[in-house]
Amino acid sequence: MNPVMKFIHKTGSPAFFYRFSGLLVPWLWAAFILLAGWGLYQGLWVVPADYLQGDSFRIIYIHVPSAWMSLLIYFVMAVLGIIGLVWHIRVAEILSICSAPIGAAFTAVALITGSLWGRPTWGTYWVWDARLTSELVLLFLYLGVMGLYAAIDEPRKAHRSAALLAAVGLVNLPIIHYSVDWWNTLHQGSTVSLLGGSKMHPSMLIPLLVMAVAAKFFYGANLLTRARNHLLAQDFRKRWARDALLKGERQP
Amino acid sequence: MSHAHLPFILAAYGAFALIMGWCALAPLFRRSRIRRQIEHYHQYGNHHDSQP
Repeated sequence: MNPVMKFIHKTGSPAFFYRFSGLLVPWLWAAFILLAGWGLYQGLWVVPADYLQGDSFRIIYIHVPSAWMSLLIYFVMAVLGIIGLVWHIRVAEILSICSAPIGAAFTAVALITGSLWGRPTWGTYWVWDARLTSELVLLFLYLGVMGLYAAIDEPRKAHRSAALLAAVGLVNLPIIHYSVDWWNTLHQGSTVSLLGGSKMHPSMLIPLLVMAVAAKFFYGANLLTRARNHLLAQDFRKRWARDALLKGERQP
Repeated sequence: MSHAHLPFILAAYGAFALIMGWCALAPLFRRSRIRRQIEHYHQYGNHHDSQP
């Protein structure tokens, strides 16, 4: 067996995944706190006010990373769900379902902060334009996946149903991303692009990118913490769970 | 910072802190419930179905 497949099989073992993720979690939290602390300090105090929007533009430092994360997490959740469906890897199933509440939280933050940013810039909290509506649909998809999983008692069957719903919902991601190009929306077009450069000054852009990286560390730390809990809750009758929890969590 | 926009900025960052704080802390509360469940099971539960 090649080393990659060997690693995948090894991490697929609940006991190994539990120990390995336990080593990663504190580092991920530390990276998040450092990066988010610097990014928020720059965004709220150091970066100058926007010439057109004034200080309200500072909401960008939480709104845009949250909106990006809402799409990324949904993609990761659906792909892990499909991996769980096809190859029956239990850790992938658990990581998929544990992504849903984190994605829902980021989506809610994107919607709420966008609404609060819209009032001083557009003059309204909400309009039913394509970007806002498709992002709201994304929140309902996350809630649907969580609700469906919780409604079915048998974990494998619950995962299969939730993964199917998540896979169908993937169609919403390009709609959200391209909504500002395909339709005339009140929401502005992309300010930052991976390929086409950025319309922002570097002094404003760098803290935004740092906040985006910080959000990914938050997701990683939170996801692993939730997945470890989920594994323990499912395997609480097994000896490894008792040993892991009661005899020191990080010892091999 | 202009005072006209301050309430919106505070509300946005407040909502962010509240939602992400809940998201970060909820697993810790759940963990303590699971710990109690495991302790209870292995103290009083059926040990015949204990698996490696």
